[in-house]
Amino acid sequence: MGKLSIELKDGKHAFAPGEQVEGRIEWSLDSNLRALELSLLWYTSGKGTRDVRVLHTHRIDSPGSFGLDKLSFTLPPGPYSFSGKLISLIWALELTCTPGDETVRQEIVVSPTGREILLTSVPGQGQDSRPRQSLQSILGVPHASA
Amino acid sequence: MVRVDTRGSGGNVSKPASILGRLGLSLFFLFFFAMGSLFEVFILHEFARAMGQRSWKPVPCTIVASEVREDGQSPYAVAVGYQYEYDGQGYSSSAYKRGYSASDTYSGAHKIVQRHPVGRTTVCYVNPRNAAEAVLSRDSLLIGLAALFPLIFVTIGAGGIYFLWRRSPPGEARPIAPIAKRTKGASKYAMAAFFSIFAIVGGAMFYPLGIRPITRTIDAESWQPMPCTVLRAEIGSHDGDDGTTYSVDIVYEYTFNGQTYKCDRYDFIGGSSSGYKGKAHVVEQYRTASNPICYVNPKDPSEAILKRGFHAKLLLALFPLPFLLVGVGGMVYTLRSKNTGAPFLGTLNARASAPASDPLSLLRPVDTGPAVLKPKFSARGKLVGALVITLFWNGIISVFLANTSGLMLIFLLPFIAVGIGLIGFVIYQFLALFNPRPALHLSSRTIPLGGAAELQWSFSGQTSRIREFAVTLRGVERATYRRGTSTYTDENTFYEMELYKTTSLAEIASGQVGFVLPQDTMHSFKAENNKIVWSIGLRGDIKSWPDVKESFEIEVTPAACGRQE
Repeated sequence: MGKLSIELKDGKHAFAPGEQVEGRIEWSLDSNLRALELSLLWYTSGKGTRDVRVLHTHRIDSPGSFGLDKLSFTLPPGPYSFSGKLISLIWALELTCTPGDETVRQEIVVSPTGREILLTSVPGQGQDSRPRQSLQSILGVPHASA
Repeated sequence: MVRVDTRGSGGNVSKPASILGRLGLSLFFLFFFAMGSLFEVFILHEFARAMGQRSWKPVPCTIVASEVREDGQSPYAVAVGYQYEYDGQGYSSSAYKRGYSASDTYSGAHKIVQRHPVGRTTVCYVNPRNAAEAVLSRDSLLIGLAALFPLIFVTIGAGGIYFLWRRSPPGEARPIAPIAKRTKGASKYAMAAFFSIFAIVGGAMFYPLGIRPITRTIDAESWQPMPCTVLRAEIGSHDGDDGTTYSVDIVYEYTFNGQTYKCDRYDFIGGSSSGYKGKAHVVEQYRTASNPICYVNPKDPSEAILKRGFHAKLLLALFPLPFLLVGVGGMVYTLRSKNTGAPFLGTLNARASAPASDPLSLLRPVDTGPAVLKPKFSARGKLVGALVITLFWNGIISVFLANTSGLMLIFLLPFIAVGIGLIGFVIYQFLALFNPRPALHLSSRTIPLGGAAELQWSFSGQTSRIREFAVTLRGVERATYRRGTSTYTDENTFYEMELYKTTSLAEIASGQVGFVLPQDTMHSFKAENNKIVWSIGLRGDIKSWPDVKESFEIEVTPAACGRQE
């Protein structure tokens, strides 16, 4: 059993969209590998069937049984990391060996606030289609009538 | 970090079934596997026999007897006899084809006799290991194609057992990126293979049920009317799993160019169905007819028909069309669709997936000009969609209904209820066609989170019928998942704000409202199975009539660049 690791610069795990993700990867494995692949990806988790999108892949051919390398990826403007009642969207860096399914994954947060966006439920859903919040009542404007 | 629990039954990581549950499911899949394998072995055995017959030696033979024999009523037996020589020794045989004894129709039997008239020298196939065994026609190799059908059951059974018992690493330890790359194309081809079954079944049915009867009907317009003698006219009765079906069985004789022929073809569709009365009427007509007419093919006088021209029964030709269209359409759509999992809507897509050499440029929306919003489905589109589904559903139900009685009818009741509900839905959509139509203009095609926009609306048609009107901004998460063979979509509304509500006729007819999108929420997001959808909903209440209910999707983009503290 070997070791695969991803370390992010300054231990930072939350990033703004468009920001640079920097750090290093390290491997020390029992057998010689054909390749190592480092991917920047997002995937969904929750009730829906998983969606995955790999945005960047950095491949290291014949990496030897141990070594280290720098990582640097520029994040796109979105999608943001979020969690709702049905869906979570998770950003991650993933280092995988070929052949074999040995892997290490480092989750990160991509959001302008530095925290994943939380989506709550509007109360009273499914009872009727009328909204619970009204802009007119918030602004104190009476409804016009005929 | 807060994460949605994925252990639910519809989630990606399903809760492992108990041993008992797995054993039960294994038995279920084992049944599929065993039945499929049994049929597969049987078909492959038949195919091997047909292949073996390809090595039988073709030798010249002389037909010494050839006639259609009607020992009872039907079927019609073909009595052939032929002589041949093999390795210098003479043999005789009466086997037309291995396993063949008789034809269901006179025409079928007569065709064989016609191909092998007495005195003709033809080719027969002799078993080299037993020269006394010979046939005039070898087994068809097409039975090999039938092996594909039980293969579906074998695959479901074996696949089900494999996935039930395979050991997989825990979700956290499983790589995502390589699996995503592998499955990206595979799911697309699996879907195309699924649709190809519809296309093959539709295509296979379309020739015998559709093209052939129609081309023959057109061709028969030039056939010659001839007087004929009805030899026998009766109603054929056929017992099946779904009850008894009936056919028009009329055997008639006619003379063409001095030669007498016999035929039993009534029309080009043939077969049997459940209705008795209509067939009894036809049979009675021909039984009592003084001068019946049949139509004879001048190119092949052994072919004739009693009923020619287009008639309602030919509508059966349309039956395979939905299968063919769904199959071909599904295959084309699946293979042409891009499996991108694109993060945003519309024009921002291309930029988001482009190399991020200037990440800040990606944050600027491409087109911020005003936009005319259109509903996903027009009123006419909804009506057509409802009509197609209703016709398809009720069409299939009516086929079963026509061949059903007793207990089976009780089983069909829920399906009939759905059919009636669909008819009600069509009526509702038809009435909604006469509703006032809204037109919506949004000040910006894309709105960033925290950004402001102005919405203008105007109605055409009888706006005065609307008693109350409301405009709502909604944010919804939409998750699609599969459970068994069905696909479900769940929705959760995470943002809802009524932007405007009025009962004033003038304001209903046209108006505008400004709004600001919240900043600390999620922008529009569209992947294959998971979506964040923002929309503007219009609701107009109409008394004793379908309400105006329209939803217009809008594109909400990420906020302007930089971190908000």
